[in-house]
This record gives sequence, C-alpha cells and structure tokens, in this order.
Amino acid sequence: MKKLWKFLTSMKFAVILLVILSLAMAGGSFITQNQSFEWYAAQYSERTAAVIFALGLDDIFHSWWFFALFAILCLDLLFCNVTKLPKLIRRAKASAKPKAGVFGPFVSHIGMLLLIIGFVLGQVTKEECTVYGFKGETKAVCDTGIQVTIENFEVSFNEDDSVSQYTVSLQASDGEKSASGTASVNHPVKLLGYKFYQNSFGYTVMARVTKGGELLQEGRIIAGSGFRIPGNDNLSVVFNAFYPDYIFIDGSGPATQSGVMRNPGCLYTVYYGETVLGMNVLLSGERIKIDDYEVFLEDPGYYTILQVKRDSFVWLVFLGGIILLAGLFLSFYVKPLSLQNGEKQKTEPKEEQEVKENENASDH
Amino acid sequence: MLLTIENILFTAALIIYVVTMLLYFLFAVTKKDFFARIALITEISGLVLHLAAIVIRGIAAHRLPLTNQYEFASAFAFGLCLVTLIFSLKFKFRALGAFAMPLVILIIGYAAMQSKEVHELMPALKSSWLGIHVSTAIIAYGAFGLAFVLSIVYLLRDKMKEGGFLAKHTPPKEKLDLIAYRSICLGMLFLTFTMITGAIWAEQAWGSYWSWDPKETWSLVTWLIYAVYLHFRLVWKKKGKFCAIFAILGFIAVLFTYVGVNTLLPGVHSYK
Repeated sequence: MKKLWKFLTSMKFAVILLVILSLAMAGGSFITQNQSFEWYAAQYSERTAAVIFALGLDDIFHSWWFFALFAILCLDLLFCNVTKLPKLIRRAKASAKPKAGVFGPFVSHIGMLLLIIGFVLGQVTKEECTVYGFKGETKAVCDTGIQVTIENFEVSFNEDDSVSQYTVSLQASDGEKSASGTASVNHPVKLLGYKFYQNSFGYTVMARVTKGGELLQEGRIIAGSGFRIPGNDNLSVVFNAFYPDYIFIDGSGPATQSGVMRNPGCLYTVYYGETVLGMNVLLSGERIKIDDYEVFLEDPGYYTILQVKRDSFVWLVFLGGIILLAGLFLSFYVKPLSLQNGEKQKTEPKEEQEVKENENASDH
Repeated sequence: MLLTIENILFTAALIIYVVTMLLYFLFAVTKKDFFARIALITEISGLVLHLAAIVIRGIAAHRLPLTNQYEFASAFAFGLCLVTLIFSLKFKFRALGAFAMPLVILIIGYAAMQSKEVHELMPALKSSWLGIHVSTAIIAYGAFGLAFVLSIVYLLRDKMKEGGFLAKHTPPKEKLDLIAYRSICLGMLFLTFTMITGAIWAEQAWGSYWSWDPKETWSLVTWLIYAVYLHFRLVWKKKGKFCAIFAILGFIAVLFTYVGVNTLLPGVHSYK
C-alpha cells in the first residue's frame, strides 16, 4: 500500500500520465469527433464503433477518463511540487546568487496547475449561447434573461471581393439595465457581463406569397428553411441556398463568383407533400408560380450569428500561463539547468538529484 | 514592383544559403579557418537579404508577411538560420552551419514551391496578435529544428567509430548533446509563449481560447513530448542517445503540427 502511494505520488507516475495524455490527444485528432454511431459503423465497422462509444473515443476531450487523467495529473503536480518546496528553500539559502532560478521548476508547475484548474472550472461553469438574427430583430439570449436587439449588421468587402469585416451593432437589456456596443471579428463586446462575439453570418430573404395579386403571407426566412403555402397545406417551398453573385457552372451546377451581392440567386424546391414538384434558381425580378399562387423571394440580406459567452475563469488560465512562462524562463535562463556535471551528482542520494540545477553550468 | 524585388531577394538568399552550406562543408572537411570565416559572412548576408525580402513583402502587402504557407515557411527557414547563427557564435561551434543549412535549404525550398500571391486577409486573421503569435512560433520551430539536426549528428557520431571522419570534423558528443538541450530550452520557452498568445487571440476571435482543434491539440502534444524530454533530462539525468532520439521525435511532432495538420486533418487553422 505504501509502495503504491509512493508510486502514485511520484514524478515517474506524472510523466507516465503525460505520455498517456499525449497519445490520447494524438488519437483524438485522427478519429473524427462527435459523430453518430452509424457514422463510425460506416467508416470502420460495427464492432469498432461499439468500442469507440464504450471508451468515449467519439468525444475524447470531454470523456470521463480524459478528465480523470487530468485530475490525477493535477493532484500529482501539487503533491510533487509542494512536498519539494522546503527542500528548494533550503537549497536557495545555500546557493549563490541569483537564487530565483532554483524556484523555476516550482513556479512553472504551479503555473501549469493554475492553468488546468482555470480551464476545468471554466468548462464546468461557463455559459455559452448562440444567437442569430436579422437587422432589427430582438432575440432572447438563451436562459440568461437578456434580450438582444440587432440594430445593424454590415459586411464590408476588400477590393478583390473577399470579406473585409463583419460588424454588428447590439443593444442588450435584462429588464432593468441596458447596454449597447459594436462587435466585429477579433473585437468582441462585453454587455451586461456577457461577451458577444461576431462569429459567423448567413443569408436571408423576404418571402412573400400572393394569390391573384392579394398578399397572403410575408416574412423573412433564412437559407435552409421553408414555409407552407397558406390555404394549401400540401404545398410548401424550401429556400435551400443563396448565391450572392450567381453563376451556373456546366457540369457542377449553381455557384457564386464572390461574396458581393451582384447577382443574387435563390435555390428553391417546391414540394407537394413529400414529392418534389420542381427545383430551380430564382433571380431578382423573378417569381415562382404554383397554380394560382405567386411566391417572391426578395430583398436579400445578411443575418448575424453571435456567440455569447461568460467564462469567469479565463483570467486564471492566463495568469497560470504567465506564471508558467516566468517559471520556464527562471529555470532555463536565470540559472541554467544542465547536465555537464552529471557525474558528480550520481553520488548524491536519489531524491536530492531531483530538479537539481547544475552549479557549474555557467560556462556556456 | 515591390513583389519583384522581394522575389529577387528571396532567390538571392536561397542561393547564398546553398553557398554557405558548401563553404561550411569545406570547412568541416579541410578544417581551414578561411572557409568558416567566409561562410559566416555569407550566412549573415543571406540572413540580411532574407529579412529584406520579408520586410519588402510586408510593405507590398500592407500587413505582416506571416499569414500563408509561403510566408510562414520562409520565416521558419529564417528563424532556423538565425537560431543556428546565434548558437554557433554563443557555443563557438562554427561547423554548426554545415549541419543546419541543409534543413534551412529544405524549408526555404518548400517555401519556394508555395504560391507567392498576396491575398487579402480573412477577418479572423486581422489581429495584432498575429505578429507575436507567429514570430514566436518561428523561433520555437527554429530552435527545435536545430536540436533535431544536432541530435542526428549525435546519433551518427555515436554509430561511427571514434577517429572516423565525422568524429574528426564535429565537436565532442557531449557538446552536441548540450547544445541540443539548450536549443530545446529556448524552443520550449517560445512554444509556450506561442501557445499562450494563440489562446489569447483565439479567445478574441472565436470566443474560445482552447477548442481542441487539431492544430492546438498537436501543438500541445509537441509541448508534452518536450516536457517529458526535460523531465528525463533534469530529473533522471538521462542524456546522449536517449535524449537525441527524443529530440528527433519532438521535431517530427513539430513538422506534423506545421504541415501534417494543415493537409491531413480539418480544423480552424486550415487557412490556405
């Protein structure tokens, strides 16, 4: 029992954990993550898929054993370093200046520990939400009690038609307080304690249905969604995709030449029940005619996809990172650890050898 | 116009690197100081021309020239050459260039094969963190590259008999081992810095400082390999052959993080 305890709290065990973690991560990057059982069964075999699910290999980085490995590593880090602290202090007292280097390994490990703790606390407590909306819409931010209004959303382009920036103006309110600000890619905005990130965007059109010139229905829809024709439940229209700068390429089909809205085209499908009646691209000024009905897909625009987040432990992660960096600098450059004098140290007791820097290392 | 000048400077630097390598070979074989002195001059002038090429490209593109495969490979070669020069002066190991230059030429050759077109940056890349994130990565990669080269020389020397050609023309094994170790220390410090600045940037751009994207995961795997190396070295006093093999393994992980992830695995870092 004592032997087991000694092993579990040893540096050897910690390094074994590091090796296992590296192998798990490397493996995780090769197995496509977060897929269905059927997907893995088709990719590999049914038996392999069963193994993948049993071991949580479909989501390694959030699996219980990956978490457990990190937890054990943290305990080990803490134990190995704290128990060594008195020895380090004694050594620092005895060694010549600069003494700070003696604490390099200790500092870097504590930094690592804070970083992992901050990461795990963040994972467990963070609130995350994705909100999408058109200009002028007001949306609820999941269950935070906050309502956000998208006051404006603009996409700007470079000379070569590539996207330069996505900028969204927001107003957030929780019933009592309200705040407003602008977010763009790389420049999130903090409103009412939550960070709003301009994450992505999509296309939207105004869908209008008329019958004999009379307006039956009107509303904004996003690419990928559809609607039923009012008064005829069997008929429905799906707005499949949007091409801002439409071109038809022989042999490959509809495509867009750029992101700029020069020649907007909407790919749509008309259904009768489950049966496809037709599929085509609607260009501006055109309409879809189904029996007596006329369907218009007009006034194309963008909608924004916002990432809303609150992680109260980000500061701990970055503090840990800075401490880790400082520790590495102390270890390597304030008093270089090296092995030139390795022969001499062999005579010292094993424990004393651990994290012992070389006094004669200053000659390089 | 500016890009033509950049192209000429880049090609000139490449040719001068090849000349430098040949001069270092001559020095290693003949042991004549003359060759080493000239090689040092060509090495420095190659670096200056290379730096000028990078700077002019930056001026032409109105941004930091560290964003696509060509620019990064070119800067990687520059970083490796710079680290080699500093270490060869610091450790008075003049033949170091003879071993490191082939790798420099391999990387700059890889750069030369990439598309040199200047494209506008996608919004996520427009950040002041780009410069610090990528330039620290270049130093880290350069330092690990140098350790890799030294470890190969170490293993070759280890295999050959004492008194053989390689033994005669390279410094003692202990010195190779030590410089490789010091190089890994430098690499480790800068890789850590790269990962932290990358995390800060990711937090701003994607709203998540760490999302187990393959590039992130593999940089952590690389970090862990070198961390294990340092523990073996500093705690269990391993050195020599064992450490050399580890340093080679580490650099394979570096290369996989650099090229393999972009080409073999999908993720947010898959910018062309």
